Amino acid sequence: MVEGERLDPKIEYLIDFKKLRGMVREILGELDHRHLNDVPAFVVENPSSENLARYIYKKLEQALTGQPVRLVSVSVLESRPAGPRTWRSRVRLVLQRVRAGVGRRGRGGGGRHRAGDHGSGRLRPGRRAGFRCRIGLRGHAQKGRGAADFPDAAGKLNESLLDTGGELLLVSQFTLYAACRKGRRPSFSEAAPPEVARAQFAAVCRQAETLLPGRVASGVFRGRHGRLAHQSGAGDHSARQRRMYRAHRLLTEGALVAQSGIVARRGGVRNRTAQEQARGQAVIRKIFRAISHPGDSRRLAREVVEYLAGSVADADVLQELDLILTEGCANVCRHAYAGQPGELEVRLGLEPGRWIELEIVDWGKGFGPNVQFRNPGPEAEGGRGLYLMCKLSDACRVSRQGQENVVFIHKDIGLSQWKS
Amino acid sequence: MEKLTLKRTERTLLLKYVGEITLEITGELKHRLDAELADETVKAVVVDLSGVSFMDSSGIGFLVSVNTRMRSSGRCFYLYQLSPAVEKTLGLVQLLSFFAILKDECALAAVCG
Repeated sequence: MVEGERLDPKIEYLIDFKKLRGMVREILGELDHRHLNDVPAFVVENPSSENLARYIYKKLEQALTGQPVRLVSVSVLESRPAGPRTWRSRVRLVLQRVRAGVGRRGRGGGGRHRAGDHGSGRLRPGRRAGFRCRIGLRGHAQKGRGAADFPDAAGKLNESLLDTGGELLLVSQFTLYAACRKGRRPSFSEAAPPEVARAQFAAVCRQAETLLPGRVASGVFRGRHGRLAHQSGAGDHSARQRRMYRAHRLLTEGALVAQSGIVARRGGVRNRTAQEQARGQAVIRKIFRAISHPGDSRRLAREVVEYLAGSVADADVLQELDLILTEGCANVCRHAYAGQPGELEVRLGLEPGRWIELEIVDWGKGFGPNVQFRNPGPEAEGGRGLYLMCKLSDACRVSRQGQENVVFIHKDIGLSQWKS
Repeated sequence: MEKLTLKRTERTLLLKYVGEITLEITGELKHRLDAELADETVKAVVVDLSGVSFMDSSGIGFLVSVNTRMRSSGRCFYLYQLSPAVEKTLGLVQLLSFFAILKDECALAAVCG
């Protein structure tokens, strides 16, 4: 901070800031990118913030001799330790909603080109919801799936990929890290190096696949840098922030935020339930119990399905629920109590006209860390239970809550499939 | 197990089960089939699934294990007349193209000789 008595008559400033900045830079130039203990002034003295401030003050005071201003104070701020750079928690995500079948392969130069088998061609974005994602890869995939950006029956953007049964196309794109703050061309130095990015992208794809089994494809980016750099660069800050806030709002309000794999908390589900109830919609809850034994497990599944047949009209849906329950109960029977009989419980929740939720609960040894949701190879004799449950539901998670091992299932059921 | 019928022709074993194929029953099915397959003259097994109203992943596991056993010993394994429920379950785990499926009676007759 500097002070003075009189403004320069020509420029009506105390001192041209450019001049002052030049002086400061000259002094800092001796310190910048150096090991401070090797700078002559700090060979003996400790280069603490305080001592640095004093050092800079003295130098600057000298430099300001003969200038119309006096130096009052110098502040030195410490940034967080630099350390080795990590990119892990800094994946940026832009969500774009597209309708199936728009665009065609090979028309025009830019666009995204999908390598998956979910159709081909160029995707023309419908509505954009871009936001920066700083919460790590796991959260990343969850957001991608949990974001509510699809119109519901009332036309509100209230539904997520979970609800619509849509597919997810992931495209790796370093240009999302373009920075246009300086110069004419965007800088990509914030983007992770290819080997880091590739591993990260693969991790996101894997997580997405566990969340939306069979509904995820990945693609390659072939855009023109200039255009995309402009979209994601510094340009319109307020618009970017608006989009970001909107995406966050949708995530916290409307969507069931999917949690991947074995990492599960009940909060998300409870919140949703509370919301549904707040809107005055009746959620029915019922508990069914049995002892896990091949015959009894199957009977328990049938019992739940028969109860559901009182509300659900569609035979195919009932059969899917039957398979989900049978797989869940069979898992308990086979693994939970080392083949011995033990307690087995099915907690059912349903909101007529909308969804069914199932919790298959046991008090046995639990799934352990290597729970598999993937479809095993064709020659595998087992390991398809959880895959089937995932495939037939809109959300499937495994968790341990205290003594309870819980397989949670959420299945959306269209209005026409319910009994009126 | 009256729901299970095993029919032998000269070189083929035709297995038909009516009901639900779940964990409850796969152990016994496997046991019965193993006993039959001890006879080395059985060159092919055909499983008729027309009467199966429901099948879970342990049923899939049963079919896969018999398939592996037959093929590894140079013999044949076929599925025949898939019920809609079975077709759906096998489709979900992408095994419809993995198994050899006999389309109609002609194909069955060709296999049974």
